[in-house]
Amino acid sequence: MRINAVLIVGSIFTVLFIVVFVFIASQTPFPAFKYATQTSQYLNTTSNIGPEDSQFMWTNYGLTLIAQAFVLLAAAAAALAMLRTNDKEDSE
Amino acid sequence: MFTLPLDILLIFTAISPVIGWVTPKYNRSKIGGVFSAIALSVSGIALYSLYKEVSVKGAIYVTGNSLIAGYLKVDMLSIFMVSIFLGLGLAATIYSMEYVENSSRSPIYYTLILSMISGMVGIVFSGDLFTLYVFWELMSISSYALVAFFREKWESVEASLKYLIIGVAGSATALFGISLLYGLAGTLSFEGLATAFTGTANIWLYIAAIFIFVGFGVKAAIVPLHTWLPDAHSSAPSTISALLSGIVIGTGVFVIARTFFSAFASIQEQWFPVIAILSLLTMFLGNITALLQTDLKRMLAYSSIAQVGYMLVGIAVGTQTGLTGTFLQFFNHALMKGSAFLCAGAIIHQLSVRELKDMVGVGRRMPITAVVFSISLFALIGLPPFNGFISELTLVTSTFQANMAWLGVALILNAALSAAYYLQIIRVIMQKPTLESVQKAKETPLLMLIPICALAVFIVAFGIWPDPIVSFAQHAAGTLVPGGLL
Amino acid sequence: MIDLTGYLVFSMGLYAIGLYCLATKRNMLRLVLGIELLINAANINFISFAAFAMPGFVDPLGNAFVCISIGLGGAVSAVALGVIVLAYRHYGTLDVAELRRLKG
Repeated sequence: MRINAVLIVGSIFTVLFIVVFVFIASQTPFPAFKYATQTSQYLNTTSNIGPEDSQFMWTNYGLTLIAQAFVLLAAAAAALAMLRTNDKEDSE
Repeated sequence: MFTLPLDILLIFTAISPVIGWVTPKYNRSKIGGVFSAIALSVSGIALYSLYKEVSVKGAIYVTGNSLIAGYLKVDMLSIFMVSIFLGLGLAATIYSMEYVENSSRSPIYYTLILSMISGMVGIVFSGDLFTLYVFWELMSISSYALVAFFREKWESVEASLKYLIIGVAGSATALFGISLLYGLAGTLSFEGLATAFTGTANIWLYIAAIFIFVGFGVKAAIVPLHTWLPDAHSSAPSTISALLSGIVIGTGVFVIARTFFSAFASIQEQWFPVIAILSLLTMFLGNITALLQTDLKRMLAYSSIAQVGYMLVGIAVGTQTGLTGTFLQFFNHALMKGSAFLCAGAIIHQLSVRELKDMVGVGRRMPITAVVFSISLFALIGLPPFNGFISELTLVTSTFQANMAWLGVALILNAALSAAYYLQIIRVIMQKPTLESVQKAKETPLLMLIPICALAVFIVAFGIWPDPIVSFAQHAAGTLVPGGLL
Repeated sequence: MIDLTGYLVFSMGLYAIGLYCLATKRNMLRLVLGIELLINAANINFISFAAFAMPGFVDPLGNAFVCISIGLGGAVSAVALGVIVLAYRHYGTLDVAELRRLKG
């Protein structure tokens, strides 16, 4: 692959990004869920997680799933708008 | 399901490809336009009844208000934003009945416009960050396809590719920020986040704030994340330019305001100056670069960047007056910039040229279009009898009240600077026509003329009698600031 | 057992690599891969936080988010590939550096 200036500058920035982040993460470890208040919905890892997980998603996030169905419809319409060809012109 | 306006829009979106089967080819575009206009009007009527309910109750929650569920929350701010979405969408739909040719692809155009508007309505109605993200993606995907709709022109495709890459990178960055917030708080509803973070200032909160600001700021065209905007807004079809410039940009500003005033309210002292400096940068860069342009639509696109800078001034101030100014500026900018882009599109449609020097004197041949264009350009500068003056006055007053007078002075300077290129446009179209192509130009067709005139009537009316809109915006802004009058 | 910091560094590294890919690669299809990397970095974040909620328990909220997010990432890639096909028909090449005709 061609070694040019953009490659080198990009690699330096990426490594710098990761180094800064590792520094921050080691100084102040991430306070996971420190501010969480509700713990009643957690599932035990020893039980059968699969069906319970999807049951949780359908009862609480049903609205979001219907919205995602419309996103898929819009993506199909977008692909149609860009790639459809008018080969057979129906004459009226 | 969802609330009634959103339901109506989504159902009409799902039905509209059927138009392509049942209509003959020669007026497919007009029937599609009528269908979309019916959808938007019925949704507007449903919105009015929702407004009555919200002004009594304060806020409506759809399917519960728990910390772990996805739900919709309708309050005064949402209804304020949706009213302008539906209004501008209706104008753009009636305009595109004449603008989009009849082909087998025109029903898909109306499907995509309806899905973009329903995505925007979903964004302002959502009560937690993840529902907001899903509707954000709905709006974004429709807009990427709409910019590339006239696919025979190379400039539309190139602009759409640039817009898509930068826009999706922004959405993914925002998703990363949302995941950091989830890790900190365990919940993603706005009210849950507001109560979880009161009084804390962890470094991880700052990092999440940076990611979310950069992610949603890409769509709001904040400098230095604005590089997609001049290409996308100038190469898209004119109705799509009007919709993108008018309301899609404002949705980015809305999401930033909503997130930063609920989840990051505890670190306000740190990010108010940052947003103030970014708004300064945005205003100056937008106005100065617009002075150097020769293409009409590109000049209007750069002025949109400057207007976003004005909107950020209100967020940087942070009081209720400042937020009233922001949302009022968004409302007025949608009307003014929408009508400016539609007029520019009418001129370009009749003349088939885009450079300003090829349009000399076109105002003499297309008088109604020229008058409406002048009205919207005067309103964009901020002259008194039009509505741009009211919102800029509110913003400047709020900066003086909050001891940030340098922002107010910068805003006045920028309004004066922007007058330079707006007046240049008016001067060019009002001279004597000398070119052959200009002298043969005819007035715009009736279906394109009606929405332009309607928008101009609203610009003048809200400038002379601003009280209902200002009080509406004040109630809307009061939902974000704690203790504001609702 | 790997600590939470390890997973966090890993997802941040994926994010940085995705940004590097978007900034430096010239082939249009590689840009789509870079976008997918960015989205997957956020997905890994969600799942790793859901696993470290409480010892012995898992939070189903994060898993629900990831299910929806994967679908959205697929839809975005489909639209991106459609636009790339159109761009290839106009320009004849898959090189992003050729798309410089719009200036100013």
